[in-house]
Amino acid sequence: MSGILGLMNRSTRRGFLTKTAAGAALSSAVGSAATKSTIGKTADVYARLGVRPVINGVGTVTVLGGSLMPPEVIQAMNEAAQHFVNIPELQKKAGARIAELIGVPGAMVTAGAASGITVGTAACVSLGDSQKIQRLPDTSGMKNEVIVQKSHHSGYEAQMLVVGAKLVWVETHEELDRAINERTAMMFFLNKYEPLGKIHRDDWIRVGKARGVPTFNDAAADVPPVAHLKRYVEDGFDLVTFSGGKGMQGPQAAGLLLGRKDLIDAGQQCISPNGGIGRGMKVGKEEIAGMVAAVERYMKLDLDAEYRAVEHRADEVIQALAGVRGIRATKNVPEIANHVPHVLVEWTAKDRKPAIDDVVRELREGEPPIAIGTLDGNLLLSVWMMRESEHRVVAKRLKEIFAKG
Amino acid sequence: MTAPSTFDRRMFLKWASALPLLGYMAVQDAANKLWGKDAVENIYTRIGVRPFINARGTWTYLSGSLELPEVKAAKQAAAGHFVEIFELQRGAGRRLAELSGAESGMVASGASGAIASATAGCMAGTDPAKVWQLPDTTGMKGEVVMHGGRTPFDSAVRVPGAKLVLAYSHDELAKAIGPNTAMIYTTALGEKLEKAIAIAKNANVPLLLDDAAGIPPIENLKLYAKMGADMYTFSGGKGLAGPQCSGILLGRKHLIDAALANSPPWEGAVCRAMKVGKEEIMGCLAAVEYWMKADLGALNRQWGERVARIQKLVDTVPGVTTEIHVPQDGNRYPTLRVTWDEAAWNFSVADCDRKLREGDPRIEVLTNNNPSLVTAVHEGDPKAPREPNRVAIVSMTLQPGEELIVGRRLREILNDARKGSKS
Repeated sequence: MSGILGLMNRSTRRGFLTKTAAGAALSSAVGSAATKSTIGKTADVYARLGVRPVINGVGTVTVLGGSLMPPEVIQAMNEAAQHFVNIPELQKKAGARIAELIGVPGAMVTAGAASGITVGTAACVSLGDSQKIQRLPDTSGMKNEVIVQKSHHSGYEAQMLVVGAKLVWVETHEELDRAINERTAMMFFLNKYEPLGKIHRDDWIRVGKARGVPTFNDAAADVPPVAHLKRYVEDGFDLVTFSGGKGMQGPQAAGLLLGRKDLIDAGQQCISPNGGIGRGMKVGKEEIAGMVAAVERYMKLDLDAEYRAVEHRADEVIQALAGVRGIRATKNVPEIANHVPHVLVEWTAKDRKPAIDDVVRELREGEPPIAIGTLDGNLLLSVWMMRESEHRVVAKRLKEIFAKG
Repeated sequence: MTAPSTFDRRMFLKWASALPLLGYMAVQDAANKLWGKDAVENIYTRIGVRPFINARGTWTYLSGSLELPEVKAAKQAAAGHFVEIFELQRGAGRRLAELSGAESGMVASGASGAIASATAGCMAGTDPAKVWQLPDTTGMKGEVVMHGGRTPFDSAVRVPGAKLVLAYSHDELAKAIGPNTAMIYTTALGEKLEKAIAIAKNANVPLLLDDAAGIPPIENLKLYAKMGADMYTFSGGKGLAGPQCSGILLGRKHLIDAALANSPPWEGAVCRAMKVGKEEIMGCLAAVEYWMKADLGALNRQWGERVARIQKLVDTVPGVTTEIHVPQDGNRYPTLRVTWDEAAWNFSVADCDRKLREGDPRIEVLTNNNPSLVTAVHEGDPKAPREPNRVAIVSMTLQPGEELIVGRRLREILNDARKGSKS
């Protein structure tokens, strides 16, 4: 595997998926037996269902609940819950506020980044024509082809297909040039896979502009740094989507779609409360207001300080594992998505004991349960979402497990 | 306050019953707290959005309902921890099963999300290859029989790739079921539902009941399982007063498992974009639990009193007819209907609606205008209901004290309109 491929596989959402499926089967066995958690008093809300909160050693992944909302966001949601508002009006004004905060022409709140893909595709297919929006997913008589690089296969293709779009896969510049025709609605780009594709962002954007095709960038997990929120639109992408419940620590069920004003206006017609394909992608007044508060907070946040705090936690874990036989712990910062310090734990002993699956299971089944990421047969621990001394708990447990051999 | 010009004995009695309301201190205090000078600035007004008094009921485009205190508390507690969403959905499902008597359950992004997940599950099951193949249904049963015909919400069925087969009567339903039928969708209740369930059972095809606005009464949570509906859904953000972007799907274990296999957090699932967070899952459960304990009789009395106060105030306007009734087709709450001679007054229901919306505080009432309905739904539909238009005030979404503001404002508007028509 090339260096770049190795890099791209790190702690991506998809990389985690296989592990999670195994974890899901496992936890059902222990689920009913589990009752009390030591994580804190409010954990009772979950414990009474037989659900055990976990120490999150994976990062801002959806399957573990995204991120934890800071008090500002929770307060905004509580305040929002006290009044009735007209949702299209709220979408418009919340979008305008977010656009102003970030410094982009248009913005809207979606039901997550996946919903951003559907809404963005619907916007490009319908171009805001309400008659056409009502007919979706029947796209007859509309531009309905979306061009994707083969290497940018994301697992989120269904979110374009549900609009009624047809995917056209390309690999080279020549194929891209030939693929564009009068039925091309959009050119999809998966931000974190840029290094894997033959066509890089500048060319993707340039071709889109030259041929009059809107370009879409899926940057779900790609803040921090905060500058990305604005940069991808400034670079020339017509639409960019981010998850709201990851680095920005907004509501888990929310996301952002940013970009060209006319396409954002079109997108606002393609999501709940409007009937049609986006009706199931519901985002409540609380989540919209929470997302505004999350962006307000995030734009002011001292991300350097946050980065240093995460790095400090990573360093502590590395130190704690320094003397442990059979493994090597080093710092690891993914380039694009989840761009914060992680701890990579590699086996140095030939026998690779204990086996990685046993380590993952032991952490997950222990008390408190710990979820940990993996990368190419090694452990990739994210300390980003950890609170107080949780990282020390993880280091101690890892030490114990490896000491047993 | 000036006395009405047509002062007769009947009007005097109406005034006599309305007068105490005009100075009802406790209600006045509540109204001031919500809409007085100190309440002007809030999270919405700061970005230029005008909150309103909701006398229209639980509509998604008007942000559903207001979350119960229990729901807010549950959401907040849920926000404090990471949990695995697969595990959480199973835990929520077990609890919903306990409460409802259904085999299993799940929390979706709303009733629409629940319908999409249910449909996808009936087509693809839990086979990962098929889950990934949707919305392409090649090689799967890909048809859904829509009992009762199309609905404004059938996009939730079409999104995962299903083809709609329309059937209106029970006979048509039985005939429409074929080898490609993945699911039957119905909104029928009572005896009609019973018949539809029997037809579905006979054909061995799963049936989904969409009763989005079906709770309260909470009895429906158990009723449909008892009746044998394979799956049924309720919105979380309407009568349940849970999170707006939540809904529940209940039913047979293997069907719920299949629905979950096609839902978030699975990446590659056709319904992945219909996301529901840990907070919304826990908030929705808390709402269901609230209604298990709630005294609906007492609430109905309070709601009834609220619209009765408005009725008393509005009845002081000569020529206005009022009536309190409880609709049976969703929003089953005491509702005040207000009518007058629109032609004689040269003042339409739409005029009144607009004036209420433009006033301060803004007030939304129920008329036959539905701004969130896709226009094509009823265009050219000869069967579309053409009920007389009127102003209706739905009690359930009114906050204590707001009835006074609504009553006074409506009385003022109608009085002005009546006087205007004479000049």
